Amino acid sequence: MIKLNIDLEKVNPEEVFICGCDVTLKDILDLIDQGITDIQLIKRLTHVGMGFCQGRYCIDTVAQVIAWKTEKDLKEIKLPDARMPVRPVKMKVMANEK
Amino acid sequence: MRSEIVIIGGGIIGVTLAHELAKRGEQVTVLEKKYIGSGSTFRCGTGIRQQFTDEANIKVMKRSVELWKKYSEEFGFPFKQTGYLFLLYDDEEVREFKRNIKLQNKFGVPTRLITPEEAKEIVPILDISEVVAASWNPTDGKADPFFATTAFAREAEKLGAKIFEYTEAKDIIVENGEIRGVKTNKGIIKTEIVINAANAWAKLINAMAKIPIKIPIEPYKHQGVITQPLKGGEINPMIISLKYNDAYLTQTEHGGIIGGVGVEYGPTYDLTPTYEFLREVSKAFTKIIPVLGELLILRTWAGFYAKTPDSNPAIGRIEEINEFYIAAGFSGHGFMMAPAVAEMLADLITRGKTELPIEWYDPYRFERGELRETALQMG
Amino acid sequence: MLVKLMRLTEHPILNFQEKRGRKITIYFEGQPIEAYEGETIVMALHAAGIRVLGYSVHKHRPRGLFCAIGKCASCLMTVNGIPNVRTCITLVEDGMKIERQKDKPKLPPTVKPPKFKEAKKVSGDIVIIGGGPAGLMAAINAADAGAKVILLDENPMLGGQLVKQTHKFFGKREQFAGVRGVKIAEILEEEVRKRENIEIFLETSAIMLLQDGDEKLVVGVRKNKELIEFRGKAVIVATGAMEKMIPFEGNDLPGVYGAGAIQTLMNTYGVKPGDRVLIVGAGNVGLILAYQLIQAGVDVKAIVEAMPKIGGYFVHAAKIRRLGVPILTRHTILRAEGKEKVERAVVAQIDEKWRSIPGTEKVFDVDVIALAVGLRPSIELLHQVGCQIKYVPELGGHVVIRDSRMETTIKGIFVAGDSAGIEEATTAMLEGKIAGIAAALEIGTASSEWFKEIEKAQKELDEFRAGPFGRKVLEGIKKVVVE
Repeated sequence: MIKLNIDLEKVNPEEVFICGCDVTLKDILDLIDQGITDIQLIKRLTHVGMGFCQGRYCIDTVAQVIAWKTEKDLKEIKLPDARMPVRPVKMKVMANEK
Repeated sequence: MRSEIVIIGGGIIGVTLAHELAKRGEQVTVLEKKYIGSGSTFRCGTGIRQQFTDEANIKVMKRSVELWKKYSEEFGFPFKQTGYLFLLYDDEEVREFKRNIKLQNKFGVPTRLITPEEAKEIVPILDISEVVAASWNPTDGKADPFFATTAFAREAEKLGAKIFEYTEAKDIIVENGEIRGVKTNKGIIKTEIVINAANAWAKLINAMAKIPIKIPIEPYKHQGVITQPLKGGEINPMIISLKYNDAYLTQTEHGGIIGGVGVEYGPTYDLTPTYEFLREVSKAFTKIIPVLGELLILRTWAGFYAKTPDSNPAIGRIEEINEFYIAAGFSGHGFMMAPAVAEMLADLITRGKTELPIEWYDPYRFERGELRETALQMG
Repeated sequence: MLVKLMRLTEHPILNFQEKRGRKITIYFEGQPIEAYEGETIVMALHAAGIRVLGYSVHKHRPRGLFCAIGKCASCLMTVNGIPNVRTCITLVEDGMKIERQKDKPKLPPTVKPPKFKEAKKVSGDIVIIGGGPAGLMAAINAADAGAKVILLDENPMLGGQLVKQTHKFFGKREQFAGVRGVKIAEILEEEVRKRENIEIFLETSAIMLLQDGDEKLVVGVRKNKELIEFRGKAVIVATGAMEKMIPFEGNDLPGVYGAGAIQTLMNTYGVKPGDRVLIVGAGNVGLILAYQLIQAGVDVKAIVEAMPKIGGYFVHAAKIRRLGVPILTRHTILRAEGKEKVERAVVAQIDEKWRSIPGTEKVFDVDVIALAVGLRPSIELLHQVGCQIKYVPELGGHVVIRDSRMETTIKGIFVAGDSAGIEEATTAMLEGKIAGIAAALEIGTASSEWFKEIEKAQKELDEFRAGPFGRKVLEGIKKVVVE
């Protein structure tokens, strides 16, 4: 079982923020309760990992919460693909305007 | 276990079909090797368009839009008729679109040719310096693939359909031309009817059933891009520019600008995004709307266009295998067509006939060498 | 003008008065603020007491600094009218106008149609991504082994996290034992700069890594505006680590900072992070941070640690305790409280099942909560290009499979330092050396004499890891190293 650094049973999950884009622990727990434990799908349904940090800030915590709730080892939780660009980039920079 | 009908593929086609069949009292099971929508549906560009260039696709899409509207209201997922705006850049393009508009009008799709200034009223940030006219249909639209797909799946389940995720079809058991069941990674499901709704993977399913005819469906990699979110209302319609690399773009519910261009790779099952795509999509988008250059690209991804030689799907019954149906090879149009496809195939299965022009999508046309006019395709 | 509330003028080790650049003025929402050339926007704002950098789009919750090294995106602001600038790695300029973002932005009025050009192209033998201890050592050694080196870093200065390490290093003399991290950064930077076959690109983010025929292509963006294609025969990824976040109530309040961000504020830019701090995590990072905060005159209220034992070196812990800072093991943080920013932290004792024990809650009046709960390797470029990855908790999370010469499962792509697995600056330097030489050997610029240097560095790594704290790392390395 995964040991989270904190007592998830005691906290109010609506006040715990998984991601800078306002996704809360409750948003994630609700999906896990519905049986949705695939990070790819959780991303799409909550928008976690799809903002400016591109998942660097939040995805690891999502994985930990899934592992904790489903009593799985973290190594069984598949990370979402890392796709280019790995930093947000302006469209005009990519187009390389004069 | 047993199921009267087994649908292989839990994309938008599979779940709308499951819903339609369950509504008609059929006992139906969907097999999805990952989670619903994970194949290509969740990777799609969200657009729903009636501006096609042939009678069949116009008719089918007109029906599909009616159904999108009906079901979005019933099930409560976002579908908006924000229109499709084709930007036209020269007289030849205008002539061609005038012909298309006439055909679309004939079947009740209210497309009209508008001036560049009118186009700019619809999307004020548009650059119209090179645009000579636009083809505008305000009844085209877009829907959210995540919420739409999950809503159809949920409603299908309410009507008794079974949806098995992470359940992969491994083989189809056929004895003397009769289907007996489907072997999956989780066991055998006995059934007499199988529907191949696996789109990009359809050829693998056809091979399992050993269908004796050739239905060329190949997976091609197409990519999408999304930018940082903006305040809503900047780009309501789907904007199309065939001149700039078959580009399509619109704003999502969340606020990001989403779209793609006609950079295609394949046949392949690789889904790695490419640098070339990022460059080309950025060039095309900033040509169409220069201020988009200021936006940050947050993500790219890829999905499959399951393409046939004429970019029209193969929908129908395979006579040699009793009873095997196919609805695949949508060539980038599966999401938009799904509700109408579900209706016509369910008609065929439960009533033996349909009012929609299913013959246009005859799976035997490739074998017979009777390709259709190529369906108008973007991105 | 907002006055210099938080600037450190006296520090036992660092002299910021001397180090600070020319005084300039920047404008925060119209208000003039004093800033110094060479510092990043967020440092200048923090020095003026501005902690709330913006508001989240949906719930309009205040947002503050978190990682301070360009990775987490919580510091995005509008700078001179341009939205979403990473203010933690963007340098101040005189007259700069900085605004908080409160909502999804609207597009500016139409601009003129674009014209395109080809991307700038830079070619070399080895492209090194990241100019921290691993990247710098890789550059020096690869260059000495005959390779033309291109070195990128997205920060405005070289040195990576060494630039905030004020403590003296352990180990052997050749591993800079007894020298402070900040000084090591200076020495390595000087070595790199004096080598003519190393070309340096700062403020340059690598946004993708690709195989391009026989070459590797690293697409970079300099200063958020220039696209550059870097090509080389080999690539060394030394992108360091990312601070871990943990979930607790109010964990997004400004004032909940990564430990590294606090070190950047305090040790690199001479800005006090706050007045009263609670540290979460009693590993070496948490312990050293406590000591550095005290040095800078900040009150450290306590360190809480969920494990029954302190994770860091005993000597560090003893020093902290002597200075009167309680270290509460088997304690966890329950919530951060405050309006707009941290005002209090509530902690509680936990039982063997990690559940908090009722009645053990303690409240600390603090304005900063420092998270020192560990680092995670920054592997996104390696993951994106398709290197095989594996979850190895001993090394901090997902890492890439590699061989003993730091080459990944993709030929010609090497890894070194924290991005290969969380360890220390000393091991990062040794791994950088190995990767730099191994890459030069592979592309054929180095003679076989250099194998000896690799063996020497490997031996030094083994010795360094032989202590009790190396045991865990060695367990992890066993899981990722293949031959």
